[in-house]
Amino acid sequence: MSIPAASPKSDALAALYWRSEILQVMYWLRGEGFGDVVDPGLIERFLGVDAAIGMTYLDRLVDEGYLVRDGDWYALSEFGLERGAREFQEAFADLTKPTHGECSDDCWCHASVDEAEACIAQRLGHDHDHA
Amino acid sequence: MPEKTTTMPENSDGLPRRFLPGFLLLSLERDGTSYGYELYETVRSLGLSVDLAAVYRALRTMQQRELVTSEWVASLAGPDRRLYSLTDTGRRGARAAATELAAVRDGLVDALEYFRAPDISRT
Repeated sequence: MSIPAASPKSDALAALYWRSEILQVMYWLRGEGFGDVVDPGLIERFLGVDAAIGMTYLDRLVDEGYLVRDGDWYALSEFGLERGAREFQEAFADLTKPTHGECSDDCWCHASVDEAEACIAQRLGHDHDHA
Repeated sequence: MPEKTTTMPENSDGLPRRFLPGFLLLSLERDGTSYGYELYETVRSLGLSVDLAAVYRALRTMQQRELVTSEWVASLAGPDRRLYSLTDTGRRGARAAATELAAVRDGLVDALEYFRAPDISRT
């Protein structure tokens, strides 16, 4: 399991994308009564991102103050909770929703110049799955 | 030495997982609105062997495809919860899912009748 094809390729947007995805999972699980603690394996199961890659984004969220780390586990911080799921969702709605493109509805190629360049570079270097 | 018995692989998974989106759409059509874990319990009770992550991913995909919509609902007793409901497109999807499931049911009934009936050409 690796990075899902629908995720952005440029580092800047990828960081925003995964911040949104991870926090949404954590808010969702918390709302459903499963607490607010996750590990990379759970992130892999819920988001389809490789656990090792997911862990880098989890650590990034720790650095940004959204999460706190306790060994292998990550929990929402007070700051992360304060932001609230609704506010977060509104703030990043435009960034996390793919726009129209000739590849597919899910492709980020036309979300920004950075994305287009990153996508072209990736396609030149690898087989690119425009799922 | 006794001959090894060839056994069919055990299928403890219940109904095929490909039915998950259809079951979610039909559950929402039936109940109007539902929380994620309620939907998970419903599809599990109907025989789908799926985990919560699969339900989450399906709901996310269905929301991206504008089949369902969701809102965070504040709760005084606990954390906010995400409440799902169908869009107009989702309602059409639910009808399509019902038609597909009925076709599967009819196909299975036909197949079972075929297998149960004696093959008179061999007698």
